[in-house]
Amino acid sequence: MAKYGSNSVAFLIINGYDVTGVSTSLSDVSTATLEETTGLGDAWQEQTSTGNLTAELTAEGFYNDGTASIDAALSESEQTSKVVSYTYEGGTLGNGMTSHEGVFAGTYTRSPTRGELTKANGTYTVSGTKDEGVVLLPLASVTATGTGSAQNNDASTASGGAGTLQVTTVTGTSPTADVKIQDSADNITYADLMTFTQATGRTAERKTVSGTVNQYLKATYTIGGTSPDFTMVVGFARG
Amino acid sequence: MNGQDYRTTTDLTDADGHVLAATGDTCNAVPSESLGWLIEQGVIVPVNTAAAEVAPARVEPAVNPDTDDAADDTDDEDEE
Repeated sequence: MAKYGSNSVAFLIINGYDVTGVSTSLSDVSTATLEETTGLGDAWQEQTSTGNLTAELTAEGFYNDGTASIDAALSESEQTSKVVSYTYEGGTLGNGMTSHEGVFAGTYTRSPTRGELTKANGTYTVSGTKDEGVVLLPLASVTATGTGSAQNNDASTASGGAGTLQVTTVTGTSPTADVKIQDSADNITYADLMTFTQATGRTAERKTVSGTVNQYLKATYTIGGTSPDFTMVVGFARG
Repeated sequence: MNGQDYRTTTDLTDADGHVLAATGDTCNAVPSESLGWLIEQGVIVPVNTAAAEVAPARVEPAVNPDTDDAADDTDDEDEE
């Protein structure tokens, strides 16, 4: 098993805001909800899982008031549901990519301290699921219609899945990006699995699919407009 | 196509992203080695298949946080 360092966090994106460069730590905690079921006569306390899971993210970093940075992502939006995506293993095709939807920055703290750079910390409460998937389209600038490389899962799966699109920066005149995820059983013919809402600016979206997801996956994108430039990442988590 | 005409229920491309058939097209350019899984999964259906017989799309409705918020707001207003 490989070990990873902080330089393997290829991105941390909150609703299209790439806060990787101003973040210094990220903590991702999943917790099973337990109920004590200790009965009379038991010597040791007994806990039983209720079947529910909760997730919480904590990110620490530097306060930055840039229009595309941490303050713009979190300030005055503590009650707004967000899509958050990040990696621990690098950001190339097939690397692990985790996404949450329904993430609320329950706490956003700006903490200036004498003799230190001002810090900005967020604690995110997740209302929904955590998608443990893979990168299909690495975070990069895209200026023309194209297709990502195929990601081979070695087998199909039967329980659907969730795809995530994060678009962090967009330039150009009337730029549009139509992004799809396709699957294939043979890496010869690909069929559309899901189509994201057309992106015309910074955006984030999570979509789900049911049923069979074939062995091979890839992302495709159709780019329109004059001198368009989209920086985006696409991931998919099988159910 | 083994003497059988098919139409697509979604867009089809090859591995390089070149379009083989758009949704609803009668397709005759699908590689024969892919026919099995495309038919089995309802990605292509015989041209005389009624729309009601076509398997439902795999994509579930998107969950849009903004829309959800709007819906919640509406609910709140109703409650008031």
